Amino acid sequence: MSFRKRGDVLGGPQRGLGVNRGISSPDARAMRGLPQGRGLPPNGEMHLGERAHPIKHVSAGMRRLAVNESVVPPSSLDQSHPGIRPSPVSSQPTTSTGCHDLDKLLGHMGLPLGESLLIEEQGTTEFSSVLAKSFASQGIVHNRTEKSSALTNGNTHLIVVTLNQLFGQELPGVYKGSRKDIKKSKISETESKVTVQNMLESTHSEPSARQDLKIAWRYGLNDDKKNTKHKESENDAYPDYCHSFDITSRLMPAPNSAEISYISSIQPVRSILSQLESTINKFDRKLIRIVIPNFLHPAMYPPKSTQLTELIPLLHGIRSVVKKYKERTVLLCTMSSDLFSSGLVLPSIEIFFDSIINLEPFQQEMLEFLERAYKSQPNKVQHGLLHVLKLPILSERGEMHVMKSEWAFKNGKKKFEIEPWGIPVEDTDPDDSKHSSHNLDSQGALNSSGLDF
Amino acid sequence: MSNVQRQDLTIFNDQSVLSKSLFTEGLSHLLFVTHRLGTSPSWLINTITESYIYGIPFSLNESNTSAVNRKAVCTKPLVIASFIHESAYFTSSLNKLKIDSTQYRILDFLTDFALKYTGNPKEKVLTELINCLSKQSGRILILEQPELLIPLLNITSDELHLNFINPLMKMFSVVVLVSSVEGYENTNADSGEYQKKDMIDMIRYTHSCFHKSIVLLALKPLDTGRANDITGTLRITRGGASPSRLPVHVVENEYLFHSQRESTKLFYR
Amino acid sequence: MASTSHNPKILLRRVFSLNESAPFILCIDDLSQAGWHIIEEFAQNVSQSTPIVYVGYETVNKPAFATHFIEGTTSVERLTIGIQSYLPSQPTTKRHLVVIDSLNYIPNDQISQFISNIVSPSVTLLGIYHRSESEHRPASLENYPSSLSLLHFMASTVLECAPLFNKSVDLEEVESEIQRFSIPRGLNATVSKIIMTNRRKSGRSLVYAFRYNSQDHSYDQLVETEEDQGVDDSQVLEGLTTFNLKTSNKQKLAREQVELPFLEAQSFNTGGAIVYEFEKDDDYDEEDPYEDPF
Repeated sequence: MSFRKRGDVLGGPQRGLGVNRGISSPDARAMRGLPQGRGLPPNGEMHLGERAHPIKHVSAGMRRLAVNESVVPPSSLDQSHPGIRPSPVSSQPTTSTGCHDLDKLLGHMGLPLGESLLIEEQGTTEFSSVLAKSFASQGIVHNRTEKSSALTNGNTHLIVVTLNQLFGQELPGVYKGSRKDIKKSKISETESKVTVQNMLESTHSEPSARQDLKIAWRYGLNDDKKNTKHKESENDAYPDYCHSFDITSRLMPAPNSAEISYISSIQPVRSILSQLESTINKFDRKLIRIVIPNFLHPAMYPPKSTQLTELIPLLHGIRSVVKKYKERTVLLCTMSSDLFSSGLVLPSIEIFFDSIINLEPFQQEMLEFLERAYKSQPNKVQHGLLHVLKLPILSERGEMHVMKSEWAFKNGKKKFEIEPWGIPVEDTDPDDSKHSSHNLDSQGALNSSGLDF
Repeated sequence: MSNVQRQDLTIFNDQSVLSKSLFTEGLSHLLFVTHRLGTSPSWLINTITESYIYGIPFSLNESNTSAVNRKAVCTKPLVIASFIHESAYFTSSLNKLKIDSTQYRILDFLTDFALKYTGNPKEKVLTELINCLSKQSGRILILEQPELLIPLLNITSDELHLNFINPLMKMFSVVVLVSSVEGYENTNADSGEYQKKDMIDMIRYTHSCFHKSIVLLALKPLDTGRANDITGTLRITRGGASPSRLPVHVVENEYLFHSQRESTKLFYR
Repeated sequence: MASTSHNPKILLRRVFSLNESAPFILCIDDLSQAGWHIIEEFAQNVSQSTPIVYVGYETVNKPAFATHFIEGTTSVERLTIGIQSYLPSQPTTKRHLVVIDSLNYIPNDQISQFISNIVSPSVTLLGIYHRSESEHRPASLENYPSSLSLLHFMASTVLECAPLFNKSVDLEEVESEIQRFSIPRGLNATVSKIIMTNRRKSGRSLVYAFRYNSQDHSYDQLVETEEDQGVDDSQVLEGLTTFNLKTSNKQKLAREQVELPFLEAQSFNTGGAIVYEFEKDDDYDEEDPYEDPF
């Protein structure tokens, strides 16, 4: 595995081989295991591209290598913001959320400027804050990308609406590879990493490739050559667009006041809004990333802020600001949906966001089942379901993008992954099968309850 | 679905979307559009706009995209006022449909609204908004999500209806109210179950809209969830207002519709 | 008077034409069947000379039949003054009709006052109340009856509007759709059902249901047939299984004859004792210590 992981270092934000292989087989199983015949095809396209079997990736890696060398000086992108690219769907300028899979899920390879994203989370887990922090880190990393170039003032500014003044110091740093990788890279400083990696990759991935091919071929995954190629080239065109973040590390140095501004959440609506707007104006010509972590968290917001008469003016104002500066502002907000599961609070909040996803972490029972099912591959265990409620621009146009229980997420040291959800089928010893069939039932119930939600 | 026949949208029995008889001097009619999460009403707003300006919804079903035969048939402009979208949102989509921009006015009640008006006396704000709308001297008003005024100005649904929507109905021959009913839940009122104030206002707001409206246009996703070739349903039902002053009647119907890449197609259910 | 009670249809006609003495007529409607056609039925039936004052909360169009039109306001006092200005100050023989298109706008704590201010021997008040529309109730008025109960209590005649479904419609489905504000097709049709509750002078109520057609202004009494249910029961069970789930007449008879335990027997607070009386068939073994029932 360590070899393949090294592939990740070189591949930058892309998925390494190991992960790819990991995905293709559970998916195939998942398709078999899906209870309601809800297959992947409708939404699979986004992921199909990467599910291509490893052989292709080897060659893709070669290609990448070739192009990478030619694009090496990033200063060639001086003209434009490194964190902005056109959306493949609407060609609107789009910026990365700091999570590659989330970028893809949103359909635009990111969050189009002038749009807002709400991440709801059920339960008491903190998965959404991982996304919020990656989103923040990504902004800071974009800002530092061009430091050496003419734009000495940076290109991005982060505004955080929170009471937590330490938010900036908790941001994750860019993923630098596993510990082994880092060691090795030190040793082989003079050597070209890429060559080593490629050689290792090609020798080690072939058997697994054949293994995967069986399944991949059956589901027509081989047909995605074009997609893969396309994706590669896109990533080469925007090398500093999206990074992987290591949640166990810290972004060094921590963002300074020129990079991050805090707005306290316990002020009257009016002052929050005017501060927001004046900060945006202060950093004109910069891309503004607004983060509202843990919106309405009882420890950070006064009780009366949950009254619609307080809440709606605030959100109305924030939406107004985002739309007013739509050519250079994006907004990400996270909140617990459990605290406001009844009544009109949640539906009222949802009105004001252009895109919404909801994270539903698995219960203990389900996690235990997944751990059993993926006994040999513990890194495949997903952590919860991801429901899509709205997608930027597309939902607004009238397209229907409510997708419940179609995606699952898992949070790793290196990245937050989102993949099509399917129930894994255990093909282990018969002793376990008793358990699994029982668990499958409870899982089915869980799944359908997710649908009902 | 490609082999399924597309249907024209008709709301009234004279085969029209907006019947001419709606625009009678001295009378006012209300159309109530409701939508839910997953079915944004933008295409329906565009359809109504086109129907008013050109008499026919050109863009629907991609039936006639050429701008050749287009001639505005309206004499007074259409006014769109939104509490949730900025004006650029409408202008860009109406421009894409090549709608003559002299035929409509857009009032943006999103941008800076909260900063400008929160905390101000509610009567004053409402009067100001009404004045703003009356200056447009339009004949038809599309009002998007006025229910947001209830929490924005801290007023009741009754105040919103009596001091805002009713005066607007006197100014325009046709008012199209577009509201979200996501989250609406009216468990039997006489069951004595406790209802929150917000919900009561929402129920009262939607009820009043229903009883004022001549027709209800309800957009909602399929009950079965997402489908690849269907976005949702548009259900046309009679409203609670007396149609006795109207020579036409509403044709109740339920359409399936599919919105994709900024075009919408209608099918019979 | 006595004769009208025997013919509900005539009674309804008398109500519509204001010939029945009824100072306050309440019309209850909801989303499934709006009450505007009842108002229009009244306008159709009253004599031409009757002045009609129309208070419009939910319309800005003055109806063709209205003599005077008053816009609804949030202030009940202003509304009362406005209505009274069109009403005779002295009792006259000429009837006046005041129509309010929605009583829901009048706050709960002012509604009874408002109604008694308007109603007089020469003035009939006809008001619509939307049944399913919730109302704000301040905590200080928790014990006060809801507007609907108040109005129901005060009204001399109550006309309830309801849609007329054919049997195939799943009423629960319709109900749950309406609860989510998704109005099914086919409601608010020209043919509907009216349930009339007419209060006699003594306060005793007579309840009749009618099938009403707002197009040709005809109404016929609906007689609820009780046998429907009986037939339904056996029909529902028929063909479900190969078992016989039906009850024969003999079984029914037997079932009816089962004596249910008296209610008194279920009250335990009076205490009691187990009384054992030896009967000749009892197999009582004196040597068995466990046999002793005491």
